[in-house]
Amino acid sequence: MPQFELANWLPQVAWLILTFGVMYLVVRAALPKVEAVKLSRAKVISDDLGHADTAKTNAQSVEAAFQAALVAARTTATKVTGDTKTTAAADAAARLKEIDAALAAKADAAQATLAKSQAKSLKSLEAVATDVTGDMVERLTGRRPAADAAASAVAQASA
Amino acid sequence: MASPLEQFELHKMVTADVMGYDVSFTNSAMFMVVTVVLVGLFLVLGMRNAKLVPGRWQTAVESTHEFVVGMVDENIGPNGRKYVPFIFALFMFVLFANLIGLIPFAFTTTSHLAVTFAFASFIFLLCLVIGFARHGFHFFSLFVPPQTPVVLLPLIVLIEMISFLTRPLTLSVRLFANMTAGHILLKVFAGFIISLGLAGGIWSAVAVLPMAMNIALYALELLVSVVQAYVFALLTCVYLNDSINLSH
Repeated sequence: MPQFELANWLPQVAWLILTFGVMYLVVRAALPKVEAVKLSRAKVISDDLGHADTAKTNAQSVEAAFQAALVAARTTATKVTGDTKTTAAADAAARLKEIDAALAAKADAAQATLAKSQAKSLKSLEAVATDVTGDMVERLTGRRPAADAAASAVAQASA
Repeated sequence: MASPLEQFELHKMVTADVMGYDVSFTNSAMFMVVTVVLVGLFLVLGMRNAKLVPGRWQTAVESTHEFVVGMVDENIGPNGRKYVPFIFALFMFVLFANLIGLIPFAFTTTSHLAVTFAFASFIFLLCLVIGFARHGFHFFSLFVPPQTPVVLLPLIVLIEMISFLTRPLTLSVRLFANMTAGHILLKVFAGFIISLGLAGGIWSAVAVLPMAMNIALYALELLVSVVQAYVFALLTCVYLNDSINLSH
């Protein structure tokens, strides 16, 4: 086998040292560029991720603020509604009371008037009844009873 | 018919000697130059006007770099970063030499023990230099695994020393034997195709069989080329790790 002929060794090893030496230098010169490109890419990616992260945090804080404002607005609205409702209810109750009182007074006055006119009418009714009774007795008997007797009879009957 | 070993013969293209030593430029040296030029072109043209979003070629260069860096990080750790150029050069040289050797009529430089043994010896010496430079005489503790029973100590140390000292041999023979065996097989079956084809009659049809075999073998050899380059670089990392980090 040519591999085991020692005469073949030296020329190969000599050229190997030379060629591999050149290759090592080429690689040493070329690799920093590869690394630089990869580093810059990693930097761009991490920067973009950082931007995205910041944007996300911002969006989250904005959303949190929005939610807080929403909650505050809702609370205020509820409070205002409640207050208004309470005020309105108190107002309505007060006015109702006032109106009730006015109506009661009016009713009382009317009642009094009514009672007065009722008594008046009853009194005149009594006079009329006495007259009518006198007339009826006169027609039936031909004799007019005494005014006192008719009035007492009417009073007795209406009692 | 030519011997299957003919493909491994060296032909002097330019005869040269330095102080009586033969350093002729042979076909082997020529393919070393081809390997270096191709790797150089791969790197330089691939990274020419490198972009943030890489093209195919740039991706190929970056992937190989990523691969080697990953291998170094995994096997050596952060201390191994400065050996990345060496491992990268080694991996690419062996990979390209193996693959170029599969082109018909090309010479496979890595099928020569001289080449693989030169690599392995250099790696062995590098490991020794780094080991003694970093750890001094404490580097000898490499031969004493932790928690070894004292009774077994002489035997274990002997075994560890033998396994350490045979590293250049195993490393070089693995690559050389794989490449040589593959190329011999390819040549033998190629020889069958020719002789059966020339035999005429029914034998010409039978020549299809070694042809099919050669196609399958070629695919296998492509795999072997890549795997052996990987194994060579990986073992170099493992050996360097022993010297750099001195695990025990």
